[in-house]
Amino acid sequence: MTEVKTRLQEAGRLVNLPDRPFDRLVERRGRVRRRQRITTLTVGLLFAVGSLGGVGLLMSRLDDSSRDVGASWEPSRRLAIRPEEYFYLRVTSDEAEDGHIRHLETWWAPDGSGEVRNRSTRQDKYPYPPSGSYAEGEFPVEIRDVGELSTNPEELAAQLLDERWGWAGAAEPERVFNITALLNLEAPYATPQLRAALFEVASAADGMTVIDDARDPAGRPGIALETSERDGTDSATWRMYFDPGTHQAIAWTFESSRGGTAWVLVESAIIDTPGVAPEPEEWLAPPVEDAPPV
Amino acid sequence: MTAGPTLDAIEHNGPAEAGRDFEAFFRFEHERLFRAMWLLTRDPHEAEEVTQEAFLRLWERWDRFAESPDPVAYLYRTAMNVWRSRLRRMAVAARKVIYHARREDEMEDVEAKDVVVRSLASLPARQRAAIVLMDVLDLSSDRAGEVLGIRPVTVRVLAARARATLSNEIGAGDD
Repeated sequence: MTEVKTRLQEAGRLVNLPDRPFDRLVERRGRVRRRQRITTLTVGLLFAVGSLGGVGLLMSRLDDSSRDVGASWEPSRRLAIRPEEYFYLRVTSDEAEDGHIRHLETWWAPDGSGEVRNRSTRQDKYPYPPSGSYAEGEFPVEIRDVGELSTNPEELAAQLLDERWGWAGAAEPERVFNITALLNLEAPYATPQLRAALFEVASAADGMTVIDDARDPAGRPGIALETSERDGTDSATWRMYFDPGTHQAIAWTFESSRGGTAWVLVESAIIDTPGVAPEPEEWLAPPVEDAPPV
Repeated sequence: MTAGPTLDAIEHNGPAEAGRDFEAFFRFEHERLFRAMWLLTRDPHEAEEVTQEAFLRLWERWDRFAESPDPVAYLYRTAMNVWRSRLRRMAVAARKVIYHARREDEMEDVEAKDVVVRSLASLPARQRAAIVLMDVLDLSSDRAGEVLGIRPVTVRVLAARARATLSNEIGAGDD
């Protein structure tokens, strides 16, 4: 046996085996079957909509249009965070393949202070950001260069070409879509102005499908950006939904032809007190009234 | 590590050797596949995901494969397809960007100790797959070629290049 082979085999023995692997497989099988049933129901509903004259609406959503970066647009609400104010973000998700259900609330101030309530399951696997109150400059920041990003869409588009943002060499619109999703879903310190600029950049990306009259999984009206991938007979579609008035992300969805689906809901506000829920007038986009069934 | 039979041994002895019952088959094969996927993915959580998904797809078709002489080949082939597919998936890529820098898991410990494993990360994905299949899972080049969907000679070339790179790294690392 060669030395390389010996050392590879020895290294393979060093990893700890996962707990209860067969039990987890049984649980996973149950989740997949439950999702397949939900997908079947959804497809049935879509056919019902089509038979009631919704075909035209559905087709209009498939229209692919592109936009100019930095096209004239004014937000319906103030996006700048004033001193003593906090950016509030609540991110919730359905159950992922690994049993991860996300429920995260953050209050972040531009001075780096804030509060985090992380009630997500599987914090063993996704421990960030940890719950707690944070003094100035102490808010947990995982993606450290976010503060350098411009809120000017043209400048931002150029900055996002840097390979540090990942997906270097990936085709458009997948590259921009993924960076946009990353910053909107994983960076509670990405400001509302930066989020709006990300929408401008992503919606103008080559090949991005823009659906103007979409509804997110919670039923909120929004503009959807869509990208899809085909692998043999399998296909997968990702969408991000944005509030039409403020261009803040409100949801992310994934759907596979194999029957898998997933969603993430985003709710955001500018608020003056950490640790409390936003008042109705503070929301940057309508909050979720009824979460979709899991 | 459980000393499981090679793919050829299972083929020779028939599926009864591994057990026709799926749970028995799972318990017999899980550890070997998980450890190989860990070397391939360099992430224990990702290795678990790939391993579980491969077993799940096999389970869904178990009626067909329980009587087949080669459920292991289907399992490994599926695991490789799942791994390649997940490489492209947004969620995984996002987590790599976010979590890669701060992860402190077994792989980092192993990498710190072993230049071979550290160098494995720099190999192209196809070379990494070839050497893991041949040198960790002990597949013949014919079998590895079936799993990867490429010709046996190509597998041998890929694995040889990988071994050469790793051998050079061992030499440099031991200097």
